Amino acid sequence: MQAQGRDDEEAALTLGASGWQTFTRVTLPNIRWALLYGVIICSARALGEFGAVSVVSGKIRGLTSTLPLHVEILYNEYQTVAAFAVASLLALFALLTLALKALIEARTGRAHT
Amino acid sequence: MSIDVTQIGKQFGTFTALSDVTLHVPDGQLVALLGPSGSGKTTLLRVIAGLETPDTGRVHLAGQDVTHAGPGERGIGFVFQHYALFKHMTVFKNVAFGLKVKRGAARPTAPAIRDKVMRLLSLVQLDWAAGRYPGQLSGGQRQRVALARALAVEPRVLLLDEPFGALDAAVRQELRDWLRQLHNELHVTSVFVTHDQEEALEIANRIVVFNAGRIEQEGRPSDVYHYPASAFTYRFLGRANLWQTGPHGQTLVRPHDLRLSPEPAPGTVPAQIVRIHQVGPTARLELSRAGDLPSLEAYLPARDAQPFQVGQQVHVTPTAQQTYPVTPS
Repeated sequence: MQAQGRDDEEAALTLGASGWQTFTRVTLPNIRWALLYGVIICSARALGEFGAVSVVSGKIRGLTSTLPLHVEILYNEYQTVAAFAVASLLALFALLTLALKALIEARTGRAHT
Repeated sequence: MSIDVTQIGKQFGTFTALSDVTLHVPDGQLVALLGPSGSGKTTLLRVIAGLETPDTGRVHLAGQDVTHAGPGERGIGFVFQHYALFKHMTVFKNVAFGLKVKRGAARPTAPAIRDKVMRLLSLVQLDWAAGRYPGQLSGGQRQRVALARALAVEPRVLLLDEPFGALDAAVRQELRDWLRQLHNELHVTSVFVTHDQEEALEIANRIVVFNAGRIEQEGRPSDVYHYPASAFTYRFLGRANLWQTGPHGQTLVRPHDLRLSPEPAPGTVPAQIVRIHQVGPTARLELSRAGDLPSLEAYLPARDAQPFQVGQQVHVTPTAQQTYPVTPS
């Protein structure tokens, strides 16, 4: 947003737009891809969290556990099939995130040329 | 609509952008704010637009105090140096923006907006580009879209911040002519900022010269050019030679006001030709003088320069000159 400067917002203000109109019609559309990219990267990071959750939250099943933690719990209970199923789910999420990320990169790349 | 700014002061940290600037722009004028970068001209334009709040002083538009009014309430149109078009909207939507954000009864109906936008686009000769995105247009075309967008809200004052600064020479010339013509048709009070003295002299009715946050001089283009009030204005409006520094101050001479002859005459000073450049119809001669007198640059019509050669001894005399007291700086 800093790189984009304030020109667009100032232009909108001189044209009579209110602060809210400027935000929804000019600022938000300008940053929409960057914002979505951030959301996806952030989700991927949260999905894969292991150490911090394990240490801080006490990993209570169904309440404060994450998918990787769940894999560990299932494995420790000798439920190998369930553990692998959850791990596969995690891998699927990873692939999906990767595909979305590539898609957005392609779109923003085109928008900048 | 007339513009009055009174004793405007503006600081950015320790930098004084404007100090005690007072300016009156009569209704319907096309005024150029001219000065080097950092001289305060853009800041003043932004203060008039309401994009910058002055530390001291007041701004009146058509006699009404708008010092604390937002940019949208002032009835101004602003054109930015780098166009500031909305990249995610088509040309049509860009121009329609100012009409679509109007609230309540002030907002025209969709067909009315459509008519008006298409009329403005044909005014800037871009009606064929209504469905294009700004990224698909050239710089000159983008700036014309920006102008149409600013005119859509029917501003009473048009403010332009170095509108042609980012364009190449040929397009710049074309847009200058076009802006001049547009102003003749619409008569909307316009203020534009430029650091290009030629641009200011060519299209403005009045020129305001800025230096270090103050107004150095203002007046009609011909007056400002022929009677610069200070050495700063003289040097800023064109090339200047320092002819001599005497008891009354510095004597400055324009390169085209020097006459060269092979023979000495009363009042001439001997000089040697160091270099001759041909620039189109003009020959530029570099002359060195004896002693510690500063060297000179003379412009002659190419035909008149033919008898002279590099290394030749000539005798120089100014046909016009200005003397200014030396200001401590």
